[in-house]
Amino acid sequence: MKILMVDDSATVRAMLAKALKISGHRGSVFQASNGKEALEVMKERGADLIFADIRMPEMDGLDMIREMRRDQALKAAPVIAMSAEPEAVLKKRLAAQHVRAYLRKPFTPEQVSALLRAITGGANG
Amino acid sequence: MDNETREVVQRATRKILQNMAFMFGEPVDKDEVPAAQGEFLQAAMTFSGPVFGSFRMTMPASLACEVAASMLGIDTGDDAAARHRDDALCELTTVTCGHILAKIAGEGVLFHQSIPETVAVAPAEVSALEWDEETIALVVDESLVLVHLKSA
Repeated sequence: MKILMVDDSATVRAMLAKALKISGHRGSVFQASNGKEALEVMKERGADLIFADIRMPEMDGLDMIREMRRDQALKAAPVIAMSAEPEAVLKKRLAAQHVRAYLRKPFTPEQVSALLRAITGGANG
Repeated sequence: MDNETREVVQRATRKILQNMAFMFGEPVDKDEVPAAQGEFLQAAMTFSGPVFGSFRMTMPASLACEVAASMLGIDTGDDAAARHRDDALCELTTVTCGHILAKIAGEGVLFHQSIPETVAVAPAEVSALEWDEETIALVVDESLVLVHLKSA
């Protein structure tokens, strides 16, 4: 399974990578620091699951998801939206964008594990 | 800042510091604030929505390195801690601000928050900030952390 982490904070990407490792994820993990970079990575390498920060410079998470949903090759990829905002706010922002789950910052490795299990059904390779 | 808001800012900052960096902040009165020494770093951002304003978090650069090390699970002396210190402080600031705004305005209220940026702050500026009515002071690992919320 290929996972793409999109966040302008290198620290958050490192924390998330560690949490994915702790969760038992053994597949590829790619990184991008904004939505534009992420779309390029998705087109070049593909992604089975995307963890995306919502507030980023250049292209934010919301615009990135909108672009994905317009692209036949990318539209089905599940997205987990990350933000310090409450889930209620994220749901308003991301209405109709078919976001799979929300991860409120700060997150714990246990929360990442639980989300990964829920989405992959335990098939986490 | 009224007392209720001060309480929200203080509680949220302590909680986020604990959850993100495993650090414990203790509130400190203005007349007990430790002297500002050495290099300080400040992350600043703005927000707009039902209320608008600015949010800043100021701490010694050495503590920002500790925050980064703690978030990454590495030693403070590791080069990566120094490389990540500004980024870690920005993330701490943006997450803390998000949680404070949700507490103040309500869980379902939309805000636009800017991307925080860091600047170096001289000890004299830190001392001036301590006496600002919009600032709360915490002591974290014997270091001074100032949190400034100004809203209208």
